[in-house]
Amino acid sequence: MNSTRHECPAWEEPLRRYVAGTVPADEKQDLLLHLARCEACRYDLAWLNRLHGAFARVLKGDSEQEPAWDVLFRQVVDDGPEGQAGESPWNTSLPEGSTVLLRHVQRLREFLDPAAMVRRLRAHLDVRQGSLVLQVGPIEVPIL
Amino acid sequence: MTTEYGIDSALLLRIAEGNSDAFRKLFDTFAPRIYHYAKLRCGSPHFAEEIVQETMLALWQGRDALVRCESLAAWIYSIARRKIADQWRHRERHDSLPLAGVADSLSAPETATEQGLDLLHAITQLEYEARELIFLAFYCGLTYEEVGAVLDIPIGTVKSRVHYLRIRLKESLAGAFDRREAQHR
Repeated sequence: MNSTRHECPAWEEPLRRYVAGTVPADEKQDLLLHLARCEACRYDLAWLNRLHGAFARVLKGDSEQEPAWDVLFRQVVDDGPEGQAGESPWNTSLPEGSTVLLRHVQRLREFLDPAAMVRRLRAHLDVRQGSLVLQVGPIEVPIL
Repeated sequence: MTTEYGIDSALLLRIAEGNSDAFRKLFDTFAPRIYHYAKLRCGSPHFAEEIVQETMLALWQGRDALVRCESLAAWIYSIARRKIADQWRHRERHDSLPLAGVADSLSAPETATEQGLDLLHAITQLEYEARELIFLAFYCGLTYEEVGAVLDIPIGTVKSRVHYLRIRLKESLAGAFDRREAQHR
């Protein structure tokens, strides 16, 4: 704890990534071998684990309120030219449907915010390459 | 580009061709990370969700470029960071408090050790830029180069700042430990 210098500077970055689970597999083996014989790095690993764990606990507290990823994903890809035709957000299951309903309420609120609306329209313009379609909930109004 | 977060160049190629199933893999990997990043920066779940949507939409619309990026993670976080900055400018929410209320969220004894709370307290005492750097480097597991790319600062600066922050956090923790020991005596 009192040591502020990393004993093995070359392993500092791999250690951070190991704790976060982003170290590549080939690097991982070398790191584990190093850890087996380096006490200073094992000590640092424990400290990093605690730091990562502190963040993880904060984020875990949010997990129950996390977005409905399926709905969010569909909204992203459906906005693009590869969107799945005929798949309406109104046909989703009840929990998803209520999330979508809330999102449409949010879009309605954005209607009152011209800048936010312009951003949405620009996104639409990009993907449709030339055509401008105003979308309000499930209703689409071709403008150009 | 080598495999990164389980995403290889073959998958990126499929995404570039417009395969939404392949994009789902990228989405599942990065959407929660971006959500947490945005939420830690602004504290609002709704704001964070918007940032995820806008970031992912930008990726999907610009998918042709995915195969050419050197670091996928750095690229995605950079986009998210720009979206957050845009939103802040738009909403004039510069006074948002990243990580505000963190200690409160861990106040339940069953979810946090004393050391964990000390650590979180130490983090919340840091200035905003430092907290962002710590999050990217120690939670997201980006390389120093990637952190530099996201924050638009040289890699040497990232290294020195991380080194300095480690010292600050460890000193802060040591101080907290000493205080607790003194209380227990």
